[in-house]
Amino acid sequence: MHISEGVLSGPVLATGAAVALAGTAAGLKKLELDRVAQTGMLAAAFFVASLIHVPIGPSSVHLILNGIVGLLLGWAAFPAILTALLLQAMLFQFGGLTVLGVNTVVMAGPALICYYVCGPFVLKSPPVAFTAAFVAGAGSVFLAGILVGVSLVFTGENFLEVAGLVVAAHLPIMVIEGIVTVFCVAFLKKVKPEMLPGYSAGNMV
Amino acid sequence: MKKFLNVFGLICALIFMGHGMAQAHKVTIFAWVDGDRVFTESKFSGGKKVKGGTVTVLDSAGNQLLEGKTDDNGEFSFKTPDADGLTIILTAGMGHRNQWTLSAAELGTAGGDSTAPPVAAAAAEEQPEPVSPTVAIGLSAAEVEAIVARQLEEKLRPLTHMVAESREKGPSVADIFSGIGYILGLVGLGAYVRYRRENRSS
Repeated sequence: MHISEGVLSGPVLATGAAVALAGTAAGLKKLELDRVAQTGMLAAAFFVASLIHVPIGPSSVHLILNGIVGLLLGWAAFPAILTALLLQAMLFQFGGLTVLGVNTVVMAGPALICYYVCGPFVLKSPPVAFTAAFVAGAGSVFLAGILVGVSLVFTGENFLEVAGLVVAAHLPIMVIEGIVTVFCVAFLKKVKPEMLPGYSAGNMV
Repeated sequence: MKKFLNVFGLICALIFMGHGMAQAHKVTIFAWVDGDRVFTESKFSGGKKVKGGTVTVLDSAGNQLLEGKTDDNGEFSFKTPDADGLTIILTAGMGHRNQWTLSAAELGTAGGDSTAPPVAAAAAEEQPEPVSPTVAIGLSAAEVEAIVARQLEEKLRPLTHMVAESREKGPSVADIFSGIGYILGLVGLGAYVRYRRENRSS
């Protein structure tokens, strides 16, 4: 899901950087003291997840985990993912420094959408919550694929073709991440429900 | 604390699952000169070959010389063009791209171009006679040079491949832990900044 250096044109890179910066600023602003550690933990999980490679499908794909990061962090997903991507670019040479903004938006944008779309349902009864968690895990990868397609449109590649390829390559990842997210949500509901979005004492079902 | 340990355990588990596979979302291209052709080999790191990736060859001034597609083994070769250095760019679709540069010296020595000869020719003039009179008789400096170049290429081929392989090392455990270390450091920094601000405002 990391777009390499030198593929995108200047305006796309600049737009990506600007959006990523705005998102990160908003995320840092909303980040409360007692959530800092959690944000770091999820950034670390995201950072490491890209090393777990799934050898299924036509291309080389790895776990992304942006669904669970978004679900648990909301706006703080932006700084978390930006940090993790920066370290991946420097240490693993995934992506690169100039495409950092675009890659951040590609992965953190869907994370945020999942937070708003699926977040309200994770504290509901188990069937609803688990469906929402699966949709968050799989949907965030799906949306990230769409965003890769959008970013590459301006380099002359066909949108439907690229987005289709990326999504097809990530189908196994979508299923795996959906399941991982369901397990995480199920575990947190039992052990630490206050980590889930929208928690306040007494609204558990 | 229990949560912390759980998360930490999960991270450790992730690391050790990742270690050993060490595969990445990255694509590499490696090119070498053999005889009068340039060979290229393209892989996703993790060893998966790039099938049908576009290889674009530019000269040192950035002009496009030729373009081609990698075959099922991720390989693509072309006749060495007359240029003083090549930049070979691989575009593997979905935003994957990497490049490899061949310098004039690499192109020149193997291709028998005019860049290397001064030294080689001088050496060749001195050597033929004492080394092996039976072979050397009737051989011009250029011919000896060509033979030596061919032999060297053959001997160096395994080495060239070794270099190519070693370039594709995935992230090491040190990289992974230093990344996590950075994140923990940033968490500390973030907590400190937040703590100061909240203390001041209250």
